[in-house]
Amino acid sequence: MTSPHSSTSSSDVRRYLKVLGFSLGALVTTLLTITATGYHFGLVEVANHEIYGYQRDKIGTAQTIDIAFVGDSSLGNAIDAELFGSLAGHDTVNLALTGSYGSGGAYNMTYKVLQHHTPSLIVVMQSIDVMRRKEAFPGFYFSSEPSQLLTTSPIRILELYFSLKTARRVIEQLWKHGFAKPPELFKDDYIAQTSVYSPPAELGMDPLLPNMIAQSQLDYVGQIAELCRRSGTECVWAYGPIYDAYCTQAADYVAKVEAGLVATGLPIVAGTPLCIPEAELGDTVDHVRPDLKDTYTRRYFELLQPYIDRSAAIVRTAQ
Amino acid sequence: MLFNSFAFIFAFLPITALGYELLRRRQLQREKKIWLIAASCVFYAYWSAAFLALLFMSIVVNFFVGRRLQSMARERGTSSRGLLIIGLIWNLSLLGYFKYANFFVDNFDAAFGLHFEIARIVLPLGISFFTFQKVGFLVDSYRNKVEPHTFVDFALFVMFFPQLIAGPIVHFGEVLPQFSRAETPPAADRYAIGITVFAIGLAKKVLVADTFAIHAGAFFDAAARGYTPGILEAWIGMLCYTLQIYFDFSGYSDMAIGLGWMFGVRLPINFASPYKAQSIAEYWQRWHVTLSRFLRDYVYIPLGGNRHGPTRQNVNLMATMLVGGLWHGAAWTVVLWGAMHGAMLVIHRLWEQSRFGARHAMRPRVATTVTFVCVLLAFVSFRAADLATMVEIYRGLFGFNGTLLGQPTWAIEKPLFAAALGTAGLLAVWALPNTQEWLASANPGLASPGYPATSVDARGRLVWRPDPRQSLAFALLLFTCFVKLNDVSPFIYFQF
Repeated sequence: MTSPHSSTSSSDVRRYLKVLGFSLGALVTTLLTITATGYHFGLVEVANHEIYGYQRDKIGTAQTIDIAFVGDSSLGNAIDAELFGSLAGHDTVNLALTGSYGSGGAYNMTYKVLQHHTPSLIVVMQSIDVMRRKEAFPGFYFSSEPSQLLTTSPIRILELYFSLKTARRVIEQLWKHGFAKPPELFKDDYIAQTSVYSPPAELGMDPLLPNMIAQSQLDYVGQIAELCRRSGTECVWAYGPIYDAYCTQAADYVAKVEAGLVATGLPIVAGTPLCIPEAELGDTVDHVRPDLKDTYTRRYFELLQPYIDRSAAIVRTAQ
Repeated sequence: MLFNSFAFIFAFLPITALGYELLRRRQLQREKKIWLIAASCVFYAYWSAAFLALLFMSIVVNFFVGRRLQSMARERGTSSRGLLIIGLIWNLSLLGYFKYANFFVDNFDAAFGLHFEIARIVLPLGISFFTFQKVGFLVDSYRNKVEPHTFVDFALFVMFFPQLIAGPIVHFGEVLPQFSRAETPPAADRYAIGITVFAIGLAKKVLVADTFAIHAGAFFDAAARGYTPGILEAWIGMLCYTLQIYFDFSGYSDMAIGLGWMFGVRLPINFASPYKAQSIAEYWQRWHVTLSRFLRDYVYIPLGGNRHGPTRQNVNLMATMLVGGLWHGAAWTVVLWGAMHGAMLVIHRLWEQSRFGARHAMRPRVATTVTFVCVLLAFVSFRAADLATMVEIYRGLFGFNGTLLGQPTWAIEKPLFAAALGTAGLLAVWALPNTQEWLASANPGLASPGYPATSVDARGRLVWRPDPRQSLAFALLLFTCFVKLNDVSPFIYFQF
């Protein structure tokens, strides 16, 4: 190997390395500080500490949980746990997080329920749209207990913090509101809807395609199924309601999601997803109007009744 | 493990470099090599631990076959052709099984309708590259061109992680003395140059190639689904792909050379501004140089090269390029790509030898443009999902599908932007110095004899210097690359 750049001294090279290392270190540290601040103060969607804390507390305070719903906001807006419980005759709890938590969040809520209770049925309910969210790990990370993270690769965590997109959102948020993020408003056991969504005309022309499905979302569903198997709990998958333009457009996508779900071993509730007509849409494509929550609860109850009866029978036999 | 991943950059590389430096400072030569082998095992096993056993078994077999060939050659002055053939069959059988079994069975099935079925075989990562490397080693052993070495030397030659997965395909004689050298350049030099070359390669991959990939991918995916591209879109899509593959693979090669430098090893230059070539023959002296020279040394010359007259030389050229095509993948499209390049090389030879060609030499810029267009056209076959898609894209390129200017949708989402990007990219590769030229003062890559474009000098105006301004620029470049690492994408050549 020939000696490089004979016209330059080794002190030049050392200075070059030092400047490079220092400036790169400074840039990296700045980025990590910004994203960590955003995550810590809940300034970005995936670190919604309020909804997570709200739902986690239910697990701690509930006397008994017979039926637990875990999933995203399509669940939070569609199922009234109190009504469902009275229809089923079992103590029911709705532990919906948001779509940003995805299957990683649903996994952790399942994990927590099974740690503290012995439910007869767990319903995993997520919008079909969740499966195209690229990463499920952030949802897992922000709904984990510190002890769960001991076995998590530090590289995965670094990837999460190394996000320019998050940093940009945090800076925007800080610029507009500072640290004073408006508190989340809760109504009817979930985040209140504050607007009405009007689906743009081209929505139906923007189909969900099979190649959009994120394997990491399916992987966490697989882990939920494994948790259920190990604990002997009946768990089922029900798609959350979705705007009916997607129901008609996304047949190939749903077929591929379904194949992935079947591979996990989680039974899929027939008749789901329930397709929401435009007039019944809430503030987004997979939220039903707040005044229709009871109606959708009853519709889902009918679809889930066979599983409720079966799981109750299994529990009775076991007792 | 991908070079462009957090795991590699923030965990694997620092740990490997730290261990290497500790052992180097204590002058523990053998331990230093073993450390690099162990690191390479982790690097490979990160993808598939099961295939690590296959790689290791293959190393053991080749080491002993090679040793026997060398000792016979030294003692008797001639080695055993039979043993060489056994060694070659061993290596090519492994490659044949993993890479071509499904291809042959599928074709056999299609031809004779026997409904023969075998399971889909997973291709071990890097098998095409390390197989060629070992084939070269055995042939060199047979020719008594291999210096004495230990098993550790040989294992490191095959497994050295910067070149394990996708080359450069190195000759044993190129790296053995470097592995065994007690003194390496000062650590500051190694890391300053190594990191700089690595940063350029990383930027080529994650900032440039991956940007072209968005447009090229949309174009080829749509074509595979039956979309009919018009002439404009076909040319934009192909321009994007031609630039994508160059930046992707040359970026990978730069990263490999940069990493090699960090560990005191100069790897051979793999790319020397191929799109500046003024003929297809020159193109192959600049594109994937280490494959080109392998094919020259171990296929073309043993077939007879130019020693048996012009007709035989043309046949040899075609055969060599067909092997090159088949090496790239088990599909008729890539075989056809090899055949096209073989045919272009033959035509170029005939043109050069003809009176007309001798009298009508093209102007350099015209020659470069013609060569580039030929390369671009051949890449259709290289990238198309199947022969039908390939035909459809050629129809588009030659205007048989119309212009589609008035159609409401294009497969490429932002065609104007893609066209501007492609034009800028093409002008850049034509006008700017390549990595090796830019860092000529540091001379980071090895030149290959017989490949003049790989011999660079430091006379250019745009040159790298270890000054603080360039250092700051590289810090910013690396940082920009790091924030793009979340959009992880594999290298094109990993699939080969």
